[in-house]
Amino acid sequence: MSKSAKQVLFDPVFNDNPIALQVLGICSALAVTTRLDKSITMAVAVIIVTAFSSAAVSVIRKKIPTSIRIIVQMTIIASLVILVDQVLKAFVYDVSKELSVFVGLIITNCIVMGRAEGFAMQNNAKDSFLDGVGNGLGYSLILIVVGFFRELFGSGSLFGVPVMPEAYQPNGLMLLSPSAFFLIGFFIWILRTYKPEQVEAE
Amino acid sequence: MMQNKDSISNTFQVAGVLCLVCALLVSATALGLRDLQKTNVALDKKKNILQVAGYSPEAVEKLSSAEIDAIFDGTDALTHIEDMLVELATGEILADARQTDLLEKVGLTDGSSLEEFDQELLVKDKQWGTDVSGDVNIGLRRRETVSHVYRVTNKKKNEITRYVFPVKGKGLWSTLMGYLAVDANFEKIEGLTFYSHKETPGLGGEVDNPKWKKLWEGRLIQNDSGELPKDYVVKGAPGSDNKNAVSGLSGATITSKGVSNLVKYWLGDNGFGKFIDNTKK
Repeated sequence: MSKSAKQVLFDPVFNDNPIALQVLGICSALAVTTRLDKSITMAVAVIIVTAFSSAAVSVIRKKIPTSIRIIVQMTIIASLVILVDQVLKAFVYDVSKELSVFVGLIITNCIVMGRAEGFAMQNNAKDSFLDGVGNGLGYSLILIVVGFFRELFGSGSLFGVPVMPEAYQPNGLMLLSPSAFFLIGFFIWILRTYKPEQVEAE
Repeated sequence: MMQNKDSISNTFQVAGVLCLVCALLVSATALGLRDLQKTNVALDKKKNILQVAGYSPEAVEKLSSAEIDAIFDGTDALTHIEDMLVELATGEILADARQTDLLEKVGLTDGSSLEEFDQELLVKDKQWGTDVSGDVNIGLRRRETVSHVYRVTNKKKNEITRYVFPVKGKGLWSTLMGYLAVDANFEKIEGLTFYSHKETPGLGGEVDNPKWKKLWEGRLIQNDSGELPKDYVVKGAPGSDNKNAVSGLSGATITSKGVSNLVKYWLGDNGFGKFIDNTKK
């Protein structure tokens, strides 16, 4: 029942979205989505980390001793996250300052760990890489949608450029974490209305 | 034939090799990118100084790094921010000979500019560092005896507009490092900004909030009796008769207290108080 590469890549975006269906990685989705540029940087960072960590775990999966497999995955993920953090600090210092601890917290993002343990340990490197990219994309989709609405209504701007009419009074609630819950809730609602098979059985 | 992957020797082998590879990868990146990161940090510090020196955050964002450098080396047409080293105990500008000594001590040779001098290096030094004393608690045990002071001059009017002091102190999780600007008569605080801290984002991290930073502008350094006030950050809104303090950050009592203390400490006699007295005369 091996899936085609396309399925592996795109299933996690709508059919098996890590945030909307698996409800993983919520905490960082709340924290970094107050502005669109932050969301996108975070999204790219997560895609890179999930893809390469899954691929790396998959390459050495036959050698990883069962007793220390979680630690091995963790080490790989942590190293990649530090790498990404260093690159951000060198090239987009302002954004990396804004993201502060949350880049480091990708290490504990359940999506990355979940894909390494749940998919990469059983599949070849190419599929694992695609699966990582796919899940990263699924996460990114939510981040960008949530970031878009939070910045638009919370600050009246997009990418820091004001787009709302002068008279618009920014809604401060949108900048606070609860609004991300509302938005993710709406997103899941809409997604499950279109794809009723995702609704959990009562 | 491959040995059993779950054997003890294989477990150790995999762990060892993995650690080695990951360690190499991480240290190679860190080393390779260090210069770029250093430049970024230095530029970010300058941007923070500019923000309290009278530039709005938007204006600072528009400046190129060359323009920022011009303001600091005096070739900018409008503003000149001069970097001086001040001996905190006497409040005097460090004499040339002592300055050369000091710069050599931290490995800066002739010709390298003051701006490369990192005063944090002095904190643990026997000669150039000292224990923090006094009744204001900033949560640090040692501090440097010599500090940068930035003098902001309006070149058109040919007058000094502000002084910018580096300040630091413990918040809840971390040491807050920032800049405090005061006016040329040392009556008002003109701005406070932090370039480095690890306070909780959304709570203590709100020290970075532009709205909160704006509250500091124009607060008086001394109270009616000519002393430093009890607090510079108070719970709730400061009353209309309190011209010194700003409102604390909700949900961040310890960070607020830390900021209040560090402002008071660095404006006091153990901080830049002597320099303020000297320059006022």
